[in-house]
Amino acid sequence: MPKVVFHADFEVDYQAQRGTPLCRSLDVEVAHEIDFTIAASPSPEWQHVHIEHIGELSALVVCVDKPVYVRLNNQASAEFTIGPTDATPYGVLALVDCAIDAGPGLNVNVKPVNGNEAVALFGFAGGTAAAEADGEDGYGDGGFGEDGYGA
Amino acid sequence: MPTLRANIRLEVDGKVAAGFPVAISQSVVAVQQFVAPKEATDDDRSLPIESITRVKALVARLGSQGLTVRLNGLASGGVPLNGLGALVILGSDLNAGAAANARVLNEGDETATAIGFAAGLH
Repeated sequence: MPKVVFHADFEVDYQAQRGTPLCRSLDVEVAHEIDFTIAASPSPEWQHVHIEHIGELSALVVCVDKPVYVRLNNQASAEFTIGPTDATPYGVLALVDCAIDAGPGLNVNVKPVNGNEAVALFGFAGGTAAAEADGEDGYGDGGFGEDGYGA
Repeated sequence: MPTLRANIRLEVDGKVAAGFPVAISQSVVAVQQFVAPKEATDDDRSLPIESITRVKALVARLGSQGLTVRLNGLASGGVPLNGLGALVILGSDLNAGAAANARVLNEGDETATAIGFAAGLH
């Protein structure tokens, strides 16, 4: 089983914050690299983050270089944004030891805030292997593990 | 203006993941730390970050009991975090109001506790 180790420390004006640093190690059935770009489009649409091999999501760490709306676990409203800040090029969303089980294509969806700019995403996701689909919905064929991380 | 700095490292099978580590620096106006126990009841409750009306960063880790987190005014559903789980959002804009930006629901049998901080605007 792939082992995912997440470590993060946080300071505000050089003072460590309560509950940190975070350090968590997690064994997952399938780990999947996130590395893709959403093309610029005048009418951006919701799309999933290319983690179709994962059924129940137990770990997600994703960085974006432009602002995006985020919906998690098949939520239909109340999305929130992440994006770059004044001094850094990335917004970050990390969920470690979660149990997002809406299924492939519904677990994590994003939409660019500004459709005129392409958005790059990178990171990792891990969880249980999705049930093998019949291929008609775009998630099947080929099984899992082609990326070198799967079972 | 306070500056939040974060360093995030991610490894998969002992190898540093592509693009990591990531270093973040973010100016914020206010920071509120919290230790938030939530008993096992049917209702959700706001994390005690009432001084932050627009959340630009939110970090929380759980004790041994899990919680469901609802962000930015989400009224149902949410993100289930298992015991010892963690949530990190940097570069966010949660703007549903201090009472609705981050709420937690405990559907377990025992009190669960979230520990962390939020940073953003008053």
